[in-house]
Formats: sequence, C-alpha cells, structure tokens
Amino acid sequence: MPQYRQFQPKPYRPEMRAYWYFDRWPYLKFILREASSIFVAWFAVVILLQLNAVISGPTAYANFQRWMATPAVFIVNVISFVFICFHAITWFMLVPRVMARQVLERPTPDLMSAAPSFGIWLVASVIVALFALRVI
Amino acid sequence: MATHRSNRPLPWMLFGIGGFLVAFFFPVHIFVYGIALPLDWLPSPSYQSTVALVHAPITRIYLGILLIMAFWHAGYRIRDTLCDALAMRHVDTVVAATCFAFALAGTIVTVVALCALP
Repeated sequence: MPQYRQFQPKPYRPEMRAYWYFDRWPYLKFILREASSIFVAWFAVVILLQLNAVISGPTAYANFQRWMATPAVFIVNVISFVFICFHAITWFMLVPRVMARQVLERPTPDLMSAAPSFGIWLVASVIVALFALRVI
Repeated sequence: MATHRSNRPLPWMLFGIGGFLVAFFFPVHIFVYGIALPLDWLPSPSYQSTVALVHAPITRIYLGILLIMAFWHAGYRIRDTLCDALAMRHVDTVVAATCFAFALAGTIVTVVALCALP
C-alpha cells in the first residue's frame, strides 16, 4: 500500500509576463531608461553621417543640414533629446546611491552629492555649444 | 581560487565610461545640431569654419573617444533592453553578438572617418 501525502510540495515557479514592465510605473521607468540606448546609437550614427558630410564637401554638408531639418528626422531628434536627458539625469542621480558620503559626520542630501555632475554637465554643454557654433 | 571568472566587468567598464560621456556631451550635440540649427534659433556657422573645427586635433580626439564609448555604451544596453523588453534572453548569444558587432563596426567607422579627414 503506497503512502500518500495530503500536501505535495510544489516547486516555486515565478511567472513573468512578456510585458511585465507595463505592470508598475518604476518598471516602465526602468525600461524607458534602458531604451535610451537606442537613441544614443541613433545619434552616434548621425554624428558619423555629419562627419562624413564634412569630409565630402560643402554640397554634401548642405544636404546633411537639409536632411536634419526634415520633419521625420527632426522629430526623432527631439525624442532622442528627451530620452538622453532622462538617461543623464538618472545616471547622475545614481552617484548618491553608490558613494559613501558624509560631511561633518552627517549624510549629505542626495541632490548635493549629484550636484557636481550636474555642474560638469552644464559647463561641458556650454563649452561644446560655443565650439560647435564657432563662437570660440 | 578562481573557479569562474566573468568577463562582464570589461564591457561594463566601457558601458560605464560611455554612460558618463553620453550624459555629459550628447544632449548639447542633439540640441545644437538636431534642434536649434534646423529651427534657425542660432546662427549657423559656415562650412569652412566647421571644417576648421573638425580639423583641430583636439576635436578629433574628443569625437573619437565620445563616439567609440557611445557605441559600446549603446551596444551593451541595447542588448539588455532587447533581452528584458522583448523577452529574448533565451537567444542572448545572438543578441549579444549582434549588439557588440554593431559597437565594433561603429568603432571601426569612427576611426576610419577621423583618419580620412582631409
């Protein structure tokens, strides 16, 4: 006579839906942040195209500038700008998560730890813009 | 006793450096060339002055480091995005190979373009 147990132990099998990131806002935020990489790749390719246009001569560069002003490319660029700014902000806000930080034996606020990165971002942007616009 | 060594830290380092460089420098590039100049918000510099800018060694070094790190950053993260968002973790080998091949191609094209400048 076999011995039956009333309650069989069931192995734990976590279930994850394919579109799990629509379940909660933090999950969606995570996947949107990861998706910024697609726009990084897009604009890195755009910079290469720009470089190629500069090498090819004034006509090619004028064509490149016209292409950048076409509605489709312009809209993709605006979306890229939003996504990459999102990447930048979340990236800098990681600093207080990974660094031990205290001033005068008290933990500093998150924003204060992230502030240097935001400062460098601002200064770097101004310098690059001045070079790109040939002010300096 | 190292029984298993992950090679993940190596691409992660490129991803991390790329993450910082992209965060610092990409927004201004997109804003100037992708938004402000097409909308005529700012005076467009002449072709000659742009050539002169790209000719400067410092610009080439800057663009080289920025673009190569951006490509590896994007490759590393697109791989994870595809695996997580489209449930492609079971074909990770193919996804990783494609993404890192893209990063490698970007690196080669960047070096060739920066060396080919007149």
